[in-house]
Amino acid sequence: MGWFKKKRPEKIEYENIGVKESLIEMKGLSEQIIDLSYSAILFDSADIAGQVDELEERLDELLYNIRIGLMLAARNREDAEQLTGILQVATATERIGDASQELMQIFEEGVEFRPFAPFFLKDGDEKIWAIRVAEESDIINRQISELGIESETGSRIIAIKRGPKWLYDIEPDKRIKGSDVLIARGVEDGLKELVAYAKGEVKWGKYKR
Amino acid sequence: MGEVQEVTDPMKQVMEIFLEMKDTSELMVDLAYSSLLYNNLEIASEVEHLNGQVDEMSSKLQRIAISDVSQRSPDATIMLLKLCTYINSIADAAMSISNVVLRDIEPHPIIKQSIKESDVGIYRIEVRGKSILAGKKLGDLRLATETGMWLFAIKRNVRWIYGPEEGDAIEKGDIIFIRGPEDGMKKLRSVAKGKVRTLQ
Repeated sequence: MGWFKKKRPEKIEYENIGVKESLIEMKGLSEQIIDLSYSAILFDSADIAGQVDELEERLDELLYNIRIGLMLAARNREDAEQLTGILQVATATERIGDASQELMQIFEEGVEFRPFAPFFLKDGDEKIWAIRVAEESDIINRQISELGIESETGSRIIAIKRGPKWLYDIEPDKRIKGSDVLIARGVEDGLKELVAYAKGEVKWGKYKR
Repeated sequence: MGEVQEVTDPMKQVMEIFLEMKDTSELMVDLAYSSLLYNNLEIASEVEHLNGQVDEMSSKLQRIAISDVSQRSPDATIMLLKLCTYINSIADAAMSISNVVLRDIEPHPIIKQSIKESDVGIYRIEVRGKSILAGKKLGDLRLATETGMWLFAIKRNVRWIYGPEEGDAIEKGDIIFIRGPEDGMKKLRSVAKGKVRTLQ
């Protein structure tokens, strides 16, 4: 991700991955980038804001791929009409990226948002919490997919802070470590459950799934 | 979605409008993808309708932010206006996605496939009469906590309930629209069919 800088959009290289794969990646990224944008403000993290920039660059690349793929695919007017719909969806997801990047400028403008951010962002149907994993928790050293955290607690892990490092690429096989801070999105009930497991107050157990 | 109540404290008032806007924009995105996935005009026009609500809330919020909040804190005002713009952009993106359906052309199969193959999927499930879900309130079921699935719309005969609340109940024959991971959907599907008698 982000292996070349976006300064000149015309320099983006065409990557021969399919339109469908690009669209799937864009959809995922546009959801992730919203969560991260709110998290960056909520937890006052310039690092998360930096990740928003990276994802935005990736969205640009993918949109470029899709444009080329679609142009190559149209054989006639009917094709073009149907393919335009794909372009419209892709462009919309990319716009979410642009808007996110714009929101992150709040970090560079010296706006004192810190005292108000939790007040405005801590609530909602779904919330974003930072949850520390205690050494005595039995979710340690287990894979996110093996635990099935999302289907068990309804909480989706969007980032992990491990020591000074932030991890954003939360693949299903990623293992949770002691003293990780999980940035999770979900409903309050489910987040509370995850907190109890993370503190080690409740044991996840072996055969939960 | 609840009504935004009149509160005297401007900070509290903007907070409530803001949260309503944020939740609505998220609902719009879910509905926009659903409208494409099921090539459904009704859902697409609901996205349009919700966009109107977001616009209204947005002007109301901006007005209060500038007239009342700015005296207390210009920084809070700037943050609010930026968040407001952000949510508007998300709502616009949702509109643009669902607009594809409003053209008289069947959406390209790739669009449907890409929504289906995403790791956060969108699904619809029919609730059978023998399911434990039938007749229960959403607040009591805690679907999101138990299955990881977020229920964002219900189709009951010809009627739609968009963004249902805790007090709304599921009835037999309802089609529920849910968002979440595939394993959570499978779990919920067995419960909706009545095959599995518990959400645990």
